[in-house]
Amino acid sequence: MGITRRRFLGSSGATLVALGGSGLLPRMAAALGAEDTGGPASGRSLVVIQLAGGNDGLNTVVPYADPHYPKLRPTVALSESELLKLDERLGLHAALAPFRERFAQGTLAVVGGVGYPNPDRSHFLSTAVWQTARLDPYREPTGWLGRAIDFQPDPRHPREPAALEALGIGGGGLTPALYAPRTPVPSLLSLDAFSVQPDRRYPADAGALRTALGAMYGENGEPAGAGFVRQVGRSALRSSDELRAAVAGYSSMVTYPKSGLSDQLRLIAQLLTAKVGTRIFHVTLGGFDTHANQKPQQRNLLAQLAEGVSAFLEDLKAHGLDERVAVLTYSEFGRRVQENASAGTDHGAASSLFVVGAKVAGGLYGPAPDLSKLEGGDVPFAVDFRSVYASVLRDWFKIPAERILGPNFAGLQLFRA
Amino acid sequence: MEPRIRMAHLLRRAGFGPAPGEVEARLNEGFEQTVHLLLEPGGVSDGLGEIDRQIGGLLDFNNIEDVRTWWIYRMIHSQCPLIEKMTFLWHGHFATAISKVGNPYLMYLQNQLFRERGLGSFGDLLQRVARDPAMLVWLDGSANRKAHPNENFAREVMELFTIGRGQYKEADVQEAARAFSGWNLRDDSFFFNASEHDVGPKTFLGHEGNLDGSDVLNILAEHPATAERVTSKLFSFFVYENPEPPTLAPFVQAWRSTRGNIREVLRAMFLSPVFSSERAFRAQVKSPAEFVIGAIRSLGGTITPRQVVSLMARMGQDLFNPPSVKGWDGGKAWISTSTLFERLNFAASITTARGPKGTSHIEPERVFEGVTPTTPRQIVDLAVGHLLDGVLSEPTRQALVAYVETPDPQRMKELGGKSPSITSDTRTMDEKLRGLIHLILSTPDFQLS
Repeated sequence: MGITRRRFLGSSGATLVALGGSGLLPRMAAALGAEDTGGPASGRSLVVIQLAGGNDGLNTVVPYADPHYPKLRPTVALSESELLKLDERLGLHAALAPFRERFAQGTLAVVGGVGYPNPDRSHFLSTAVWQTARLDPYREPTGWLGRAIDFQPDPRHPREPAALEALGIGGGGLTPALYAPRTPVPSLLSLDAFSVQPDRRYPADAGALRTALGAMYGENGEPAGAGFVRQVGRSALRSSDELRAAVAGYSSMVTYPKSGLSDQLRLIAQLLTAKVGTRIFHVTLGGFDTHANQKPQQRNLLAQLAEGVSAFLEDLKAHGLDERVAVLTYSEFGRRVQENASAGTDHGAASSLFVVGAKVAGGLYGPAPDLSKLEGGDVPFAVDFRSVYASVLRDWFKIPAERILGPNFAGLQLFRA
Repeated sequence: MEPRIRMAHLLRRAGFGPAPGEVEARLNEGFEQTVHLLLEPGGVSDGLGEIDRQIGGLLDFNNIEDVRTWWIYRMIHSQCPLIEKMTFLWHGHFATAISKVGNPYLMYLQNQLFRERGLGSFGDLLQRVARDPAMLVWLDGSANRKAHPNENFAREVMELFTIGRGQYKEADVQEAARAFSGWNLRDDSFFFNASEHDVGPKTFLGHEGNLDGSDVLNILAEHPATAERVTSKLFSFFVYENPEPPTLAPFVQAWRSTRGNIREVLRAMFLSPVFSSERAFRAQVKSPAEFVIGAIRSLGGTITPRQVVSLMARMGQDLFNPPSVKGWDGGKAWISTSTLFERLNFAASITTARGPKGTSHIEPERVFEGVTPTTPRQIVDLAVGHLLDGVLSEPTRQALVAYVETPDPQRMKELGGKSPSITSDTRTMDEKLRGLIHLILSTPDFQLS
């Protein structure tokens, strides 16, 4: 049983506070619904996957024909049997086999040499640069995705945010990429963390606890007072119930591999099939900081990525949603070309990323790296990461990218019309 | 406010809330004497010296999780709660984040600076913060060279730490940056690099001369806008947000007459009628730290503070890692559907967590304060008395009574269909008392201070 967006909102009442709302004002529940606005990007969603720690772009999209590649990486370089060729110069890491198939189908874009000027090698600063899309990220702590969510095409007729306009999935709070000046964006570790937790020893008491919480937060109209906390709480309890109902209505023939990322992607698929109107999701896969013993670690992580995303896209296809969703990966930096003494690599600069989805204009973007021309031991950047963002905003979401990013990030066209 | 409520209010605002029995003990001293003791602990030891000695070998201050754990332990257990509360306030004001500083030990040193100097002269604190190694990394002081002055610290010290926007021009930022040139770091300590210091004449906020960083900081500390802005921040933190100028005036006057002595400004605030007014009562949203630490303290809790670190981060307050140099937005921004659920989940975990042999992380029966209740209503009233000063609307109270009276269906089955008696069935008492505390910590009212 699927739950429609209308049912979701209808059963929540017309004064649903946006999920995650600061609750300052009851919103009119996006009465028309993001799905039904009829705009050119109507019903489209984006899933952003952060590869945290600095993914080694050179061993992801491998310049296998460059003679400097094996020379600079005597132990870390991938042999021809460990990669899947894309053309006569570049190959994908073999763990990305599902991505290689999508490349052949023309639905995977590979963008190489992505970075920004004067790169910083700090995880934190560089992550902040990517997430804010600002080279001075501490001046303005809003995320590029958050600003996109807030964007109003016509300020005179503000668009009401949907209940779940955007969602961060993962622990440790909301990712700064989703910090929005106006729209509250929730984050959740799991649906369980977004549910009332009974005492494990007394599970039969759960109903009484839930009833009391509902009464305390005035679910039945009583009691008044303690203003906005009560309002947010009512919204939280209601949204939790509705989300669980939405997820309960989901079924799928697709088997996801066992991994944390896959679990998160399945939750996203559940929400997409329930059509709750979420446009942007952000998830994180960590562990890419491969200073030592890189090869097995990176192989495992890339396999999780490609297999998880592949299952997710299959699942969406089975639900007829594959043309409405695009997946973007990013990482704060690539890694040094020259390997270190621990069979690993240190923090570098430019890297590569993927955009995948049924409407993605597949292919290779950006020049193949030339390892004879390094800057400070790093591959210099050739594609500003903000031009990738610009294409996502302009070509996928149909909003003016310069209003989110500033001008001058044209050039890439990553989606088919 | 009646005396008991007023004392609990003081302990929430000037600390992290009362421990069991603390309100009565402090009432014996009296409100005024308690204010003086909080402000001038003097002979009172914070009671943590022995702890520091014992855990010194367990913690690694090069690890930020250990530094966080250490601070949270102090918040829960210090006998000088206002010292920790001021440390907490200054951490939000001079907001510095490990995400950029990168060195946990420097974060610890900055925390100690707030602890040691947080109740003294603001001008003195400002001079020390400007030379603090974590701050020098955070706002790029160490990149400030004569030929290429870095304006980061110069701008924020005015915009955020002292006079505020509208009180200075871009030229003042540039001139201040020149005055701070050469304020560098060497071996993780402040170091004045004379060869990188610009000795030329400068004009800053109308003052002319060969000004150096100390001069700029003195000008800012003595500036009337600093008195108003920082006093207003103290009032918003300790009393209520957005005070009207006439309400604030006596405290700005206290600042002026003591040249920015924080202790005396706070003394005036705590002893003023406005501090104990109806408007001030539950006027603020508890920050995650106040919510979590307050709950643990009120339940005589021994929960491992290490767990608390990540719970607080999920509620939106990652200690030592504020989101920007502006600190946390605070107030209503603390409460969203997801962060409120994290609070509810914390209430669940602290009341249900179990140690070895079934020992508890909290002592639920502490809420009875020695009385043995005989009815569900009395159980609720005692718990509300302990955790919410007895101030809770009747409908909410009735919802709690209904919860306590609702029999557990599983237990009923075990008893052959009979409803368990809460006063004679110890299992039911344990279940319902833990559930009741879970619910009280989850009330809208408990989210407010």
